Amino acid sequence: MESLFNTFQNSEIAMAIQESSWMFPTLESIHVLAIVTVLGTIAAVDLRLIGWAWRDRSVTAVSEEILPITWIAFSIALLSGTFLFVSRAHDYAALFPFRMKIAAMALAGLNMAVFQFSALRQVADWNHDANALPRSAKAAGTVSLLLWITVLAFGRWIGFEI
Amino acid sequence: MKTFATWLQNSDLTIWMGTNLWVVPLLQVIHIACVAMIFSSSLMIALKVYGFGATDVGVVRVSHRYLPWIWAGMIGLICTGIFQIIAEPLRAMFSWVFQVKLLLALLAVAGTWLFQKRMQNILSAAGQPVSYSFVLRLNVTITLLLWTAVAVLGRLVAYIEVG
Repeated sequence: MESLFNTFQNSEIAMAIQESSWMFPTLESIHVLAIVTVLGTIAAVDLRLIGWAWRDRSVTAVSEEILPITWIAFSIALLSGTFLFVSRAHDYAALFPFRMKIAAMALAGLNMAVFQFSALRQVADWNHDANALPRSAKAAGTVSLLLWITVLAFGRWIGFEI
Repeated sequence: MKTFATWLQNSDLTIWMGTNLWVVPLLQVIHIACVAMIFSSSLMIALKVYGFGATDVGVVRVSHRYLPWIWAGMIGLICTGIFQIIAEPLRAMFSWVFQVKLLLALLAVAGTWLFQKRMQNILSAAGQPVSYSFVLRLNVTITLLLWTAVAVLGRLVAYIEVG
């Protein structure tokens, strides 16, 4: 793994990003815009799952409207994040906040998968009635919201360590 | 201004924030979370005005849902922003990037306020169909672009030194 990260860090693209005065700040700006969109849009869906917002709209209507934007933003964040990572792969991989950020993202993915294959299967029972939201849906929304805030916090922390 | 900034630089609060290294990062995380609230809410409104999204709600309800989040986010931005200036007064107050960021943020606030006024006018003319006029689209587009610029300049403050 270490040698792979070294190969990344010494690659042509990594060198180009390191030596350019504008590439890193540009990638970082794109990354920040994408992350704030992921966090903000996913929070809107999570708040519906918890039952704090859009209570009179169905869960599926809210998520079908918002989640495509989340996925587009997430793809942009992932792509720009990959370039940022490659520029100093070896250094980032060794950082505690970077590792924690990846771990929090993995947990957020796991939380989403568990929700998808459990509570969401019975969505018809509570889709339209915010008072009938099962605990599992509320828990999935709360955990997701907390994990994405954690991702943001560790992401900012990286900037102080690198 | 320089005297004030220098005085602030030596204040107890600035020194306290300088010695407690967790304070500024925490403020920054809250600051970015507020940017997330504002930017995503503005994006949702803009997409609705352009006719994207679910058909079960119109632009008025979408605005009603997201405008309070934009204003709440702004209060959070201002509070955490002020403390970040206090933490590093010389770096913040004399950076042209920061000054342009503030100016654009003010314009974005004006854009959001104008949009809210238009929504109130639509509400008071209840019963009439909402027209997604060119002016309304221009309003939300410019506001969203201004918030984008504010977020980007916020990141660039760290790169372009005071000079």
